[in-house]
This record gives sequence, structure tokens and C-alpha cells, in this order.
Amino acid sequence: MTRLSDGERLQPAAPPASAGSTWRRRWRAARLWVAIAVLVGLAALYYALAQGADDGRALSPGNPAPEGAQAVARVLGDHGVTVEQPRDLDAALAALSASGGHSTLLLHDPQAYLGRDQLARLARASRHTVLVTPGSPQLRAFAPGIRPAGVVPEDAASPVDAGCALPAVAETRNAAAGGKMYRAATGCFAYPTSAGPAYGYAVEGTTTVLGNPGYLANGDVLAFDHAPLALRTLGAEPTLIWYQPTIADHESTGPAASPFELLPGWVSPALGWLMVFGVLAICWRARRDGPLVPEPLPVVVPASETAEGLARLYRDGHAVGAAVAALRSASLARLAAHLRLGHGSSADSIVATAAKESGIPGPRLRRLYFPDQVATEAALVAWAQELHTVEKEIGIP
Amino acid sequence: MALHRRFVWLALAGLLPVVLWPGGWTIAATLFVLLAAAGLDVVLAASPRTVAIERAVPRSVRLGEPATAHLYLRNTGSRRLRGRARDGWQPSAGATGTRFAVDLPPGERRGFAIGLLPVRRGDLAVHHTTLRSAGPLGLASRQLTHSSPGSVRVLPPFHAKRHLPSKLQRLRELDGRAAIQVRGAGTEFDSLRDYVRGDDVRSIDWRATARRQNVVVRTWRPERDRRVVIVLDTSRTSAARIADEPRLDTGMEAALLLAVLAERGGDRVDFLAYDRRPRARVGSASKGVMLTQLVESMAPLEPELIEADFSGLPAQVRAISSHRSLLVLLTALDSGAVEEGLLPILPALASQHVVVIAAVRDPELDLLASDVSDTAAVYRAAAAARTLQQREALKEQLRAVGAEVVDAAPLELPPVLADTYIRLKATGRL
Repeated sequence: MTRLSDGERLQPAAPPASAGSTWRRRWRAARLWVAIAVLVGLAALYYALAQGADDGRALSPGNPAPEGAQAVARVLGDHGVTVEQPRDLDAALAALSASGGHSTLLLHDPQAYLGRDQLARLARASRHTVLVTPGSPQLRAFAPGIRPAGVVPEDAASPVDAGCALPAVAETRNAAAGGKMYRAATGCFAYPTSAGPAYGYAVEGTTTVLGNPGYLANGDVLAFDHAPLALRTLGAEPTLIWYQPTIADHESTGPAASPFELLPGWVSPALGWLMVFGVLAICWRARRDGPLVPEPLPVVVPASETAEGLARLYRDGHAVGAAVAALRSASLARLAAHLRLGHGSSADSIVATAAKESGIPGPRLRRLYFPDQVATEAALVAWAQELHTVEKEIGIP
Repeated sequence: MALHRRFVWLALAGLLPVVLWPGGWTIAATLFVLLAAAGLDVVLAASPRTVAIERAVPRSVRLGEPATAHLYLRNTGSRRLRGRARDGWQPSAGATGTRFAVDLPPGERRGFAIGLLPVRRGDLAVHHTTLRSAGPLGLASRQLTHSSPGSVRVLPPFHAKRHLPSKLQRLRELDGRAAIQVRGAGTEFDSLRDYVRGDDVRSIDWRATARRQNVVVRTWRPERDRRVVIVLDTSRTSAARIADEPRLDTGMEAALLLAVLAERGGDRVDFLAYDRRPRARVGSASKGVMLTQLVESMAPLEPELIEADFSGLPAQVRAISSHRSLLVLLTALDSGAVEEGLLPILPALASQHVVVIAAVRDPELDLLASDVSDTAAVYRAAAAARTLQQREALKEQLRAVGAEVVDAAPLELPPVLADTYIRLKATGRL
């Protein structure tokens, strides 16, 4: 038998609930979080699938967004033009050679991923090329006679007339002004500059240069006469090879493009395992040894808070008069108590007795206890300190 | 289920196969092996469900004094249980040794001591005990929280008892004192004794002297068996903290000192904690164990966040004592609460009883009132001065209707109240 000290009693605890009810309780506590986790997972899955389905790149033939070019590609497809979208340079070259010369190559490479050699290979393989907003390297490879002439701000309000007699532009009266401009022997949508006209649509041989992506983009293709321009330009051959190079086509110039390629093969699995290890370590540390114990805290009220609040009211209202009255009457009460003058004595008699008893000149005391000059806060502080000093002189502790 | 440090080290060692045979399948296989090992460990561990828990908790402990609670674990299962346990005491119990290692062979019982050093008055509770039963591999544990309620009552500390010897001494000096110095209504005849030099000649009992050779004087003793009713205000004003102690606790100290003193002085003490209704009552019927009962009933009192309603107080006092008593009211001298609640009923009470109103004075206000260093301080000083003056005016009002007022700083309130009691007793006003 256990020996208990005085006043102790042995309390047996109730046996724990059955395993089933414990699990039910845990499920009830966790089901909200489980539901939230499932919802988040489903949402992530949905977005992953939705992202994979369409192509978010600008001027992509599969992108239905305003900056995409699905509309032009569909219309071309309806008119019997096969639109191919090669994934990389090799696929583009293969498609070009498969078409046997009866194809248009659309090259849209705003980031200039392709190097000089790659562009030269494409130029050799392609007979009919449309370059969308090309830079100097692409122009050098495909149309050495066309040179970039800077950028003109987009101006949707005032279209610019075609002003040329190219067959592809025959049905086009006007188009949006702006975009990249090029100097060439032949061109449309001219923009006059001091060094001669710059064109938004330039042609040299079999190469056409489009300076404004708006001619093809879904959002702008219906404006002005963009649609016939785009269809005429791209639909000349039965096959359209719509090639947009990606970072994967970028030919590295240095010895190593990415530092990860230099690492041995086991590093990334090891890093993955370390992440798993981190999760396990979190599970180890995060498990509490039992529920938290609450502490019912008592109410705590600082006692002097009403006085502090009153002081803040005085200060916010600049209540100099009220402060003077309170300090003066408190000081008079202390004085009366010190001089043993009873409660009923008037301020006059208290001050007179104080002057007599302490030897402080009466006029000074009267000025102090019947103040009429205290109007500002600075004067209030000076007066209160004077009052304090005089009380000390009289001998009030 | 809970993982162990060893499991985490093993997971780190799992880096080796991942490095040797890099690939996603290696990671999956290593993870599977690890989790299977942990699962096996959990299955092999003894069930913490089979542990029966008993606890022995001291009934009460004085605030600030250590105590020991015991926890007994008995293994009713058939497997040896090794692991750890944690006893969930609330933080203010100051429990030490609440996390300990457990090794329970089947059918055996072990006791564990848990040190308590409470830092708060009241009923401090423990609700649950959590057991972790480790598996034989030491990788993972089963964890279960048992409900195992217990509570210990933490009594008020009664620091004021250090004043008790000197006050008792003064109380004894009242006994047998020549009555003439304190002549007044109600002093009781005690005995006759020989005259010694210094006794007042007016107290000589001539009739007794005539029967004997020596001059005999009468001695008196203070009245006994008077009633002292202590009322402790537990309304919202008692929650205010003055000098890091709530008014309620200061009131308890004062009430305890007064109660012990009055009981030794031969009076009957009743205690009532009251705001709108009685919160605690201790009657005078049981002499000798009064102090124990008093601290027991005071321990769970907390300030109630409601305004006191003193209109029911006269009826409560009448129910305790129909005779003339010393009524000590431990409350706060806040102008609003007292003017509206206490002043209207006080004349009736004071006509029937001797009323003492004891309140804690805030030393902070005196400090504020004497600081005039800058603008903000001057405004604070003005506000403090105004508050103090209102308080003085209130005390005057209370005295005018016939109540004694005791107003002292927290540490001084118990001895000052005791002095007031001794003075009232000595002047025979009880």
C-alpha cells in the first residue's frame, strides 16, 4: 500500500477511451485540415493540367490570349494551309526539308536565342521566310539588305496607309502605326525620317519582315486591315512552319552554360533526399508530448490608470486652469494640515498663517496661492515647481 | 505515434544508398524501408492504453511553499513498457519533474514524484498525463494522452502573520489592565488584586479593601465574545493591482491577520466575501480550525468583473449576527463605487454596528502628485492630487456617517487594521 502524507488522497484516473473512439476523435479534429489539403491539392492539379493544355507564349499559334496568334493560325488552317509548330531547330529544319520548298517559315525570336550559325542553317533551308520583329543577326542571315531603324511608339488611333504596290499588301489599305521600323529598298507603311523612309513591313527577295506583332496577334488582328495582310503574307505556300525558338535552342558559347551540368549525377538525388530528411526531422521535432495546458489568467488592472487617464485628458485639453486649481487646493490642504488649521479655514487665513509661521514674505505666498498669470504650459510648470519649493521651505515633507 | 532522434539519424544515413545508386527509385525504396522500420517499431511497442493511472495530490499548499504530488503508473498489459511520460500541470503550479522516463514491467506499478511550487493562489489543476511507449528498435513511439484530473488548492500566503506576535502582545497587555485608563461603556470586571504603586487610586475597591489588610484594586478586562464580521469586497475594484498585488489579496492578508487576532482576543469571527452575492462564508461556530477554514474558503476567490451591489449587504450581515458587531468592510475607496453603493446603506449599518472601512491606498498616486519635472508630469501631478482629494473628501463623508476609515498602503494595511481593532477593543467600543 502506498503511504500517503497527511491531506493527500489517491485518485484513480478513468481508463482511457477505446482505440476506435480515439481515432474518431482525432479524425474529427483533423478533418477540416484534411479537407483543406485535399482542396489545395485538387486546385494545384487542375492548374497544372490547365497550364499544360494551352501555350502561354506571345504570338504562339496555340495561344488564344490577346497576345497569342491562334486566330490567324486557325483561319489559315481553314483555308488549307498546314500550320506546323516545330519544337526546336532540328524539327524546324526537318519540316522545311520535308515540305520540299513549298513552305513558309515564320521565325519569331524576340529573345534572339538562335546564334549566327543556326540562323544561317535556317536561311539556307528556307525558301520563303517571314520574320516577325527581327533583330540585326536575323536580318543579316535572311535579308542583308534590310536594316533595323528603331522603334516607333504604338499609335492605335491614327492608322498609316499602305502606300506600296506589293501583291501581299494589295487588299490592305491601312494598318496600325508603330512597332519596329526597318530601312529597305521595298516596304510598306512608311514612316518618314530625316534619313529617308522607314517601313513597318519590308520585303527583300523572298523574305518578308513584319515590324508590328499586332498584325498577327489575336487582340489586334481584326483592327484596320490587319487580317488580309496576315493571311496574304503567311498563306502564300501550302505549309506554314511556325517556329518560335526557346531557351533549349540556345547554343552555348562558353564551356559550361549551367553550373549544375558540372556536378556529379548523385548531387540532385542527394539534395532531394535531404529535403525528405528535413521533412522527417520536422515531424520528429513538431510532435508535442501531449496537449498544451491552458493557464486561466486573472484580470490585471493597474490601479492608477484612472488618474493617468485624467492626466491625459488635462494634457490633451491643455487644461491649465484645472491643473492649477487641483494643485493649489491640494497644496492648501497640506499647508492647513501642517499648520494644524482645521478643515474650515479659508485660503486667506491659511496663507496668512503660513507667511507668519515660516517667515516667507506674504506677497510671495499670495502671488503663489492666488495665481492670475498662469496661462501657458510653461508658466504652469514654473508655477508648480515654485509651489513645490515653497512647500519644502515651509517644511512639508 | 512519435518519431525518435535515432530515426532521424537513420534517415540521414539513408543518404548513403541515395548517393551510391542515384535515382528516384532509390529514394522511394529508402523511404519505404525507413517507414516500414518505424511502423514495425510502433507495432512492437507496448500499448500505452494498458497503463492505469492514479495520482495523489496534496489537498492544499500555501502559496510560495513547495509540495510534492505523486503519480502512480501501473502496467496492466503483458508487454514491458519503456518510454517517457509527461504530466500536464498548468504553468502556474511551478511543477518540476513533469517529464520523466518510464520503465514498467508487466503487472507492476511505479510511483513518480512531481515537485510543485505554486506561484498563484487558487485551485491549480492537472488534466492529463501523456505516455510515450517506445518500440524495441528505438525508432518510434506510440503516444496516448490519458485524462487524469487532479487539483491542488493553493492557499493565500498570509505574510502578515509576522505582525501577529507583536499585536497579540498588545492584546494581552489589555488584559488585566487597570480599567480607569480606558473607562468607558462595556469594559468587564475581571478580578481584584493588591494595589501596587502606580495604579490609579480611583480604581481602588474600598469595599474589598475594608475586608482585607491591603489595599485592593479592581482590574478589568476587555469584553470577550463580541462578534467581528469581516466583509471582503470581491467586485471589479478588487482586481486593481497596487504595488504588484491585487486589492483582493491585500484584503485577504488584512482579513486573516484580523481574524486570527480577534479569535485569540476571545471574539467570534465571521467572514463573508461579497460583491452582488456571497462568494464565500466562514462561520464562527467552529473554533480552533477557523484559520484553516478561512484560508480554504479564500483560496479560490477571484475578482469578479461586476460592480458591487452593497444594498444586499445589511441583510447578509443580519443573517450572520443580529447583535451589535464590529463590521469590517475591506473595499476600495473609489469615489463612484462607494458614493453610489456604500454611502446610502452606511448610516443604517453604523447605527447598529461599529463599522470599519479598510481600503488600500495607492503609493503610486503620492509619487505622481509630487513629481513636477515637466509638463506631462505636472498634469499627472494635478490629476493625482485631484484623485487624492476626492479620496479625502470621501473619507470625510464616511466618517461623518459614523464609520471608521482605515486607509493604508498595501504592506501596512494588515497591521494598521489590527491596530484599529485593538484600539476599539481597548476603548470598549465593541
